[in-house]
Amino acid sequence: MRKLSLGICFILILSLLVGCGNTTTQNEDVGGDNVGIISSMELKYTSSFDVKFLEDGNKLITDGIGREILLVQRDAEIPEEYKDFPVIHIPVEKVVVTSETQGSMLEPSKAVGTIIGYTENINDWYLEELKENIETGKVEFLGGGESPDYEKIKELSPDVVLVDAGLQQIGDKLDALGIPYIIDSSDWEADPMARMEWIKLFACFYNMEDEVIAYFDRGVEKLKDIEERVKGLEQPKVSWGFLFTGKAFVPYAGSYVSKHIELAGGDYVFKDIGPDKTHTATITMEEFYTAGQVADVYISSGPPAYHTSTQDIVDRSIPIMADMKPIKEDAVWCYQPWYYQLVHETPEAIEELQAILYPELYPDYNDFRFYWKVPLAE
Amino acid sequence: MNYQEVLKKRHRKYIIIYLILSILLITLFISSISLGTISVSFKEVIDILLGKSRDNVIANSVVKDIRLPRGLGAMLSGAALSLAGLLMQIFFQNPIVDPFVLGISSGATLMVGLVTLTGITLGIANTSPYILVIAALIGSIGVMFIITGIASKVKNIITLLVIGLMLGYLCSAIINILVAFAEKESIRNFVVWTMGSFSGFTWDRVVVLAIVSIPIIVSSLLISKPLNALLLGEDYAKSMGVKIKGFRLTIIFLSSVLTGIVTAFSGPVAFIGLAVPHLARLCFGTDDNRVLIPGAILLGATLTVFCDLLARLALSPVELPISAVTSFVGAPIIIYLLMQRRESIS
Repeated sequence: MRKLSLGICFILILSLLVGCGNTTTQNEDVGGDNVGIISSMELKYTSSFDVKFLEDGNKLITDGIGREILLVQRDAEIPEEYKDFPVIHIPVEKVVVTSETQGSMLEPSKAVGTIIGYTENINDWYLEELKENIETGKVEFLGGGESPDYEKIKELSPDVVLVDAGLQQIGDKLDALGIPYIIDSSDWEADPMARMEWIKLFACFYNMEDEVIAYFDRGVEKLKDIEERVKGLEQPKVSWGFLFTGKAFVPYAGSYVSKHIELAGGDYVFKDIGPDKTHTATITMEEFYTAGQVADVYISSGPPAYHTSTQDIVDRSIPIMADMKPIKEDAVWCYQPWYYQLVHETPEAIEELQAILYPELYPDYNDFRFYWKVPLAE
Repeated sequence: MNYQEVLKKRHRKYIIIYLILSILLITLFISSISLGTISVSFKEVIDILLGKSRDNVIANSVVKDIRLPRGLGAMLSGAALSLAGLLMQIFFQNPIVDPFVLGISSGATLMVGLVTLTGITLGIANTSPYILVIAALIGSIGVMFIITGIASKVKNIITLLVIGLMLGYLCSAIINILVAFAEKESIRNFVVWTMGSFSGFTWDRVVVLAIVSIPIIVSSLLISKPLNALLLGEDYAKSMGVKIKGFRLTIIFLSSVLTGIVTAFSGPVAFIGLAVPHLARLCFGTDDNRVLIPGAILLGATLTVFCDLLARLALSPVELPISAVTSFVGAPIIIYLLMQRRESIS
């Protein structure tokens, strides 16, 4: 019996080693040794990706999980030193997106028209060009992100699939099918401008770096101006999160949402929860109520469909939530349905939040594109 | 009719059922590699498989790199889970146990939960599929060693069954705590994994699954006689020369390895391991393991390939979770057959 056990264990381990032997593209240096690098892209907020410019207009990029990928101009040869790298031919003509934020991040490169497929079933696409292309059948729905329709993807033969970091498990199958992809971890950034800075990486696929860098720099300047407007003023307190089935899901203090509030001049009431974490914390209703009741404004992080009135929020939580200051004082907002499709307009989103927090500074601001005012319960 | 004639008739019936199941399995497997989002004619599929058609690159890749590994993966997984379920039901002499009863799947789920639910929090951004597979395998093997260790000390089978259930509960408790503290972005990935899918099967995975499961499936045919003896109780089996202690460990080990390897590659696949042995008993009308083992293997492979085909095509391009389909398809069949039979399943 012991011999049988050892034998099967040996086969198991050996098989796994064989099975794992083909993962050459995961975080491995497959050669190249950075030969022929002319310069690097200057990144002001993020360190999650990297772009190095090579000779002949080629580029060496590092994606959200550290995979190095070579971007080769269509008329150029693959440099000998980089022949073992995954290759994407640029300018990209066909792209598949796996999250709605990616659609918006292609907008500054004027490349929304290159999208040929998407995996998230989104009812409300905000980007007009994409909306039209979906209606006319030029863009196809490719199934759920976790198990997309690989056959359809193969048939579409995209130049690149932009894989959201949360779906990186599909990379294994894309590798097996020889479909180029990059992992986009922009949602894991700790600063909204770092998240927006990913537009620079996507610009590399279209040789649009100069235009997009200029676009980004204009956003940086605008943000400085937005920050200046509220310097020295008393900061309104902001509660943020979604209430569901007796739990509250609030962004960590280290998340880009927390930074978004800070840049708009707000004081985030959950700033003590996870200052070193970038995602969402689950807290109890008691904690949410205690911290949230002193807030001047509450942003419920969901679309209007969940917010026909503030009563919806009370119904999804506990009755005492009706006594929360922002609910009583009619200061509850939620996301517009296309909120995540406007990442390329992050400074504008911050400005709009500032208009909500400091209405006296924005008496004529009525066109709310990012946030939606939740009607007060009757 | 004398006894010999009855036996002959019975053998003929078994052969006919094997033949029907084999034809059904081949038909479903061919359907599984012929049908899909991309239209590829049956003739072209055959040409691709025979290496005669190389012009249509897309069709070649779809058939060879997507449908074929997936179909083979589903077939082997179904056979492995059914066999593991049958072995567990014989071992515990209990018709409502399945391959997951000893906590094997819970161990795999726990390890995958540890990786996916704490990965982001711990700053481990890269949760590649291989990390998940290795985590699931470590979880399964870990629980398997605990169970075999306990099995060598505990004589009573029911005690072992309860210990297995408790191990499962312990793993589930830890998973629930992890979920409570996890960030919502990771919970979605974890929940999707627990619903099971054959969509990620690549050739690498099929090779590993085949290397591990085929020798066990074949060798299980050799232990059908001592398994029959075990059906009549341990004392009877002992009197027939079965070394009970070693045999118990063998059964636990084989079913744990089969369950562990399938869970590692596809996530927990519900129903097959529990229901296919019943289906096999109902189809063949016998408890003889010499008949049931190949029957359950064939039936498990057939049902799983059918369910995977349904999961892929029913609401294409959205794929249904395999566990939902296996339960949805299989449960009514079992209920119907049991109602028809009007006999106890024990």
